[in-house]
Amino acid sequence: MAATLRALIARFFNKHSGSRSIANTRIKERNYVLVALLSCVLFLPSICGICIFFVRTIVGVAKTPEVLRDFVAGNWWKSFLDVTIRVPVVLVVVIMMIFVLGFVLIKGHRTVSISQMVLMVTPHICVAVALSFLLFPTGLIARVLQAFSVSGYEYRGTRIALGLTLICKMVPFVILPLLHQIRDKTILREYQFAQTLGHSEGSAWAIVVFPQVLYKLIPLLCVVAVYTISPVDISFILGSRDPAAVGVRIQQLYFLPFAQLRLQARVAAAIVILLSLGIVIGIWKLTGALNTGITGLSSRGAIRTVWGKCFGATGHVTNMFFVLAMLAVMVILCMWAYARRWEYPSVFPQEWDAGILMSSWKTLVPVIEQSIVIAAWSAAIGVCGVLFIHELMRGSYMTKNVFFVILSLLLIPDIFKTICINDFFLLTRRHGSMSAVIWAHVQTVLPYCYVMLYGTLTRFNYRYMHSVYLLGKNYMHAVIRVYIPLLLPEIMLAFLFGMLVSLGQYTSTIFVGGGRIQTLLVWLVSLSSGRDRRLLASTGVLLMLLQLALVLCFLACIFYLRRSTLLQSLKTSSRVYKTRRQEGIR
Amino acid sequence: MCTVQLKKMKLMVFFLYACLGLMYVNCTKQVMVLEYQDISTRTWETIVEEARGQEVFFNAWGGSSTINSYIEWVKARLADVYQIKLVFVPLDTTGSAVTRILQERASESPSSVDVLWVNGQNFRSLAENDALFGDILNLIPNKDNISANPLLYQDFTLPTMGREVPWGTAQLTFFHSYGDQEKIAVFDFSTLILNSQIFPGTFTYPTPLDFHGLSFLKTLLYVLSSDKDLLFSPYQVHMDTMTDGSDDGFSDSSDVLPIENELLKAHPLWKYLDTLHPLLYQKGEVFPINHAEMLEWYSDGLIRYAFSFNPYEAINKILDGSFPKTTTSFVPQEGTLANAHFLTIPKGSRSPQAALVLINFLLSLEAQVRKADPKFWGDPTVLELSRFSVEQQSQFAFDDMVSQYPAALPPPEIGVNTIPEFHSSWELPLIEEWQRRYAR
Repeated sequence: MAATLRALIARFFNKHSGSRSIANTRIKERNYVLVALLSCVLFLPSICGICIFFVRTIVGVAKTPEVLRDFVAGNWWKSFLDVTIRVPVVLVVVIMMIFVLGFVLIKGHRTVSISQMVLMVTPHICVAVALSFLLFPTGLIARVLQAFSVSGYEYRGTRIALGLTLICKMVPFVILPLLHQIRDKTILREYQFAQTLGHSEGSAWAIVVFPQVLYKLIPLLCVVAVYTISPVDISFILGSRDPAAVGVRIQQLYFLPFAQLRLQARVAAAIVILLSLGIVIGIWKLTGALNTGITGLSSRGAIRTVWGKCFGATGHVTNMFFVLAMLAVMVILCMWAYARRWEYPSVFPQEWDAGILMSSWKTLVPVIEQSIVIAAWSAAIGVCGVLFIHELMRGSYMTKNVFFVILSLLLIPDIFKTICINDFFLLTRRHGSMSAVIWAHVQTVLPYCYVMLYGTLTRFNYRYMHSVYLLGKNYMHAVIRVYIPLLLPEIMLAFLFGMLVSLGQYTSTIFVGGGRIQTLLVWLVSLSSGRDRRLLASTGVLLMLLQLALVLCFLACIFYLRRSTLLQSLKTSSRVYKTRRQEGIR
Repeated sequence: MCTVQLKKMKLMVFFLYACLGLMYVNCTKQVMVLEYQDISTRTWETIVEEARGQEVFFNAWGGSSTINSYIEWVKARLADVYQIKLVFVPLDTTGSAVTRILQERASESPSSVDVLWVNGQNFRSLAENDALFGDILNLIPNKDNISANPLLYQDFTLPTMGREVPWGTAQLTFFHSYGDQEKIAVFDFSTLILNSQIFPGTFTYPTPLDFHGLSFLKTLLYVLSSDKDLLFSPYQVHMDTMTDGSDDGFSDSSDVLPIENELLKAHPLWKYLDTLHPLLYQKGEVFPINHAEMLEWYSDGLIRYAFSFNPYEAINKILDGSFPKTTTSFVPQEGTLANAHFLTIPKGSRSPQAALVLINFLLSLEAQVRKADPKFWGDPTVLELSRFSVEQQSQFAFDDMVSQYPAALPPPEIGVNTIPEFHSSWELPLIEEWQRRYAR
C-alpha cells in the first residue's frame, strides 16, 4: 500500500522521461489534481458542512420522528407554495430585462453600463428599506393619497416589493455575462447576417440572437431562481408574513431556544435544497424546449417593424429609469434619516434633525472598517482563486466543466448553505473569527468572481504571452508584465463585484461570525427588528454611501488603467525590444 | 503550457496554499483552548485589575435607538473608568445568541458572548444545558443595593441562584390613543372585545414567536384559567398526543391524553381568540412580526391599542415624536404579566473579569438612574432605594416629567395588578397550538 502511494507521489512529482505528448498528458493530470485540491481547500466549509448537515438532520429525525408531523402541522406548505409562485414571476421579469438590455447592448449602446453601475451602487437592502417606507400602510404612497383625500389604501404588496428587490439584486449580476455574450463575434456576425436577410434590428435580435443568448444564460437564470427561493435579509425588512417567507421562518425557528423547533428548521432547509434542485432541473428542461420553439419561428413583416420602432430609444430610457430609481431610494432614505418628527399623514416631516445620522456614523465607523476588510479579503481570495484555477485549466476541454462545478455552488440556497457552513465551523471550533467569516464569504464570492471573469479569461489572446517568450523572457515575466496588466481592468471590476457581493452577505456573517464579527448589513438587519425608521434609514444611507464610494473609486482606477495599459504595454515591449537589440549588437 | 511554465505555476499554487494555510492558522489562533476560569476566589480589586484592557462582547437586543444610545453611553463610561473595551452586539432576537452559546457549548469551544441580556425560556435553556458561568451575583459589590423583591430572584419560576443578575423590571402595560369622548372608564379583557366590536380593526398583537406576543397569550391563559396553580407546575409534555387524535402513523392511540393537553386544547383562551381575531386589524389575517412592528403600526395610527413591557415606553415614544400625544397608559383590571430582565455570563466567556465589571457598573447608581430616566430609556430600577441617601434617591424622581404626560402610568400603579410569570414549559405547547390554529 505504502509502496503504491510512494509510486503515485513519485509519478506525480518526478520529471517526465517520455515523448512530448506523454509529458503534456502528465502536466494536464497534475493540473487536474491541483485544481481539485485547490477547490477542495477553498470550498471545504461548504462540502463538509453539507455532509454534517445531512448526518445531523437524519439522526435528529430518526430520534424524534414526531418533528415531521409538527412540520406538516406548521403550515409550511403555504410558504413553499408562495415560493413556487414567486420564482417564475421573478424569472420572467429578469428574462424580459435581459431581452431589453441585450437589445440595447447589441445596438452598441455603451451607456447601458451606466444602468449596471447604478444597480451595483444601490445595495438591495436599501431598496428593500426604501420600498418599505414607500409602500407600507403609512408609507409615502399612503400619505400622498391621504393628501389628495383618497382613502382606502391597503398595503398588500409585500410580494411585489419582495419581487422588485430581488430583481434589483439579480439584474446587475446578469448584465455582465450578458455583455460578454453580446460581444461574442459569432453572435454579432449572426445578428448582422440576419439583417442582411431582411430582418429589422429588433426582429434579428428577438428571433435570431436572443434565444441563443438566453440558452447560454441558463446557469445564471438558475442562480436567480435559487436566490429567489429563500432570501432572508430582504424578507426581514419587508416583513413578508402572509405567508411567512421560508428563509425568515427557518432562521426564526433555528434561533428559538427549543431543540424540536431547530430540528424543524433543519427539515425545512432540507426541503429548500430539494426544491431548488427541482427548480433548476425544471428551468434547464423548459428553456431548452423554448429555445427550440423560438428559433423555429418564421419572421414576419409586422414583427420586424414593431421591434424596430419599439426599442429605438431603449438605451436612454433604461438609463434614465435606473438613475431615477437610485435617486428615489437615496431621497427616501435621506428624508427619513433627517426627519426628527414625521407624523402620519403628513407628506413631509414636521421637524428635521441630523442628530441620529451623526450618532449612527460615530457608532458605525468600526463596523464600516470591518466590513471593508472582510470584503477586500474575500474578493482578493476569490479573484486569485479564479485566476489560478483558470490558468491551471487553460487549454483543457475541462475548463467549462470546472466553471460549471464552481458555479453550481451558487445553486445552493443561501439559508441552507449557511446552516451547513455553520455546522462545519462549529465542529472545527473555528466560528466567531474574522478568518472563518472571510472563508464563509469566499464560498459565494469566488463563484461570482468566476462568472465575472470567465468571458474575459476565455477570450484572452495568449499570443501576447507567446511573443514575450519569443523575446526570451520567462513565464513569470509574461504573467507580471503582460497577462495581469492587460487583464487588470477586468480583474479590478471582478474584485469590486466580489467586494459588493461580500458586503451583501447577511446569513453567513450572522451565523459564522457569531456576533463577534459585524458588518454594516448585519447591523442594519438587527436594527430592523426595532422598526425604528430613522435608525434604519441612517444606516441605509451609510451603506449606500460606502458602496458608492467603492464603485467610484474603482471606476476611476479602471478608467485610468484602461488609458495607461496600452501605453504601458507599448513601453514594456519597446524596452524589451531595445534590450534584445543591444544584446544582439554586442 | 511548457514544463518551465508549469514549475512556476506550481510555485504560485503552493504560494496560494501557504496563504490559505496562514488563514487556517489564523482561524486556529482565535480558537483558544476552553478553560473555565475560576475567579470566585479572587478579590474584587484583582478582578478589576485583570479586566483592564480586556474586550467584552455585550449581546443585547438592538432594535431600539434609545437602548442603543444608552449602551453607547455605557461603552464610553466603561472605557473612561475601567479601560475596558465594550463591543455591543445588536441582536434581532435573544434566541440567536442563546442558540449560539448552546452550539458552542456542545462543541466545547469558547463562547462568542461575554454578557447576555436575557430572561425566560432563554435563561431556562442555558441553565438546563449548564451553559452559565455560575454564581456571578455574589461576586459583584453592587449586589448589596439590589432590592429584595422575590421577582428579581426567580426567572419564570426558575430560581436564578445568582447565575444571572437582575437589570430591570417590567410589566405588560397597555396604551391607547382614543379621544376623550371614546375613553374607556374601566378596562379589562372583556372590554377589549367589546371595544373592538365598536371600533373594529383597532387592535392586534404580535405572533407568539415574538416574546411580547407570547406574553399577551400567557396573560390571557392565566386570566381565563380556572385552575391557575396548574400553570406554575411543569407542563407534562407528550408530544405524540398533541394532535387531534387521528392515527397518522406517529402517535400511539393507546396513549391517554395528559390533563394539561386536554386543558390546553379545550381552554377558553381559544374561544376568546376565535371571537377576538375577526375584530383585529385586517380581521386577524395579518399579525405584526414582532413588538416593534406593532408599535410602528400604533405610531402610524393603524391601530389604537398596543402594549409594551416598559411602563414608560409611551412617554419615551412621545418624547421622540413617534407616538401621538394623546396616548394613555393603563393596566387591565385582571392584571398583566410582570417579570424582570437579567444579565448573565455564559460558561465559556473569554473575558469574565471584564464581564463582571460591566455588570457591576450597570447596577451602579449612576447607570441605574440614567436607565430609569424616561429621557434616556425609562426602564424601572432594580435598586432598593431605601439604601441610598435622600439626595441620591431624589435622582430617581421623574415625577415632573411623568405628571406632564397622561401617557405615563402613575407611579403608584406600577407593580400593582401583576401576574407572576408561570412555568416556562407551557410556552412551546402554547406556540404550537396557536400556530396550528391561526398560522398562515
